[in-house]
Amino acid sequence: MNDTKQRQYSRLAEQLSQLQDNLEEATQHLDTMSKQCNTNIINQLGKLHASWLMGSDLYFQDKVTSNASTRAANDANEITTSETMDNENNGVNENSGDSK
Amino acid sequence: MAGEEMNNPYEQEQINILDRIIKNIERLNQKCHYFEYNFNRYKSKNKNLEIMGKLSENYNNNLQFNLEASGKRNGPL
Repeated sequence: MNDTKQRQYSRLAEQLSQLQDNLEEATQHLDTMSKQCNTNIINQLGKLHASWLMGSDLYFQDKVTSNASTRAANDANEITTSETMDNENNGVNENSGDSK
Repeated sequence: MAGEEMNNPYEQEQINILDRIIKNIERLNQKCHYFEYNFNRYKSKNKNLEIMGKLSENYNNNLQFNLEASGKRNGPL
């Protein structure tokens, strides 16, 4: 019984030392993985692309609204010029009609 | 000899329990090896993402420099 117990204890000691090494390596791996995740994926890919998306969205919205406002102003100008031309034409016709 | 057995009646039970403990620790070590193997695989697959991240960071640095130099840089939102 003592022999078996001694063998068991020696084997247990080996396995526990291996386990300690493995757990140290595992903690180091997890540490590097978390640092890589934070720098590469979240900071570089995540934050940068999100800020680009928001900035470009705002820029294009401004562009669209400014284009819409200029188009509306142009349309208003066209309407006013066409109205003045119509008035002038009507005035000419009336004059020609009066002359007749 | 009978006296030794009399001194420790739980001998056999202790041996069984120790056996179970050793088997569980062996299983733990195997899982740790498997974890390390998978971590190395993950590391090799992460290299492309790392390069992509550096590219985008460099592009952003260039962008900020050019905006500041041309004076078109607006403040933070």
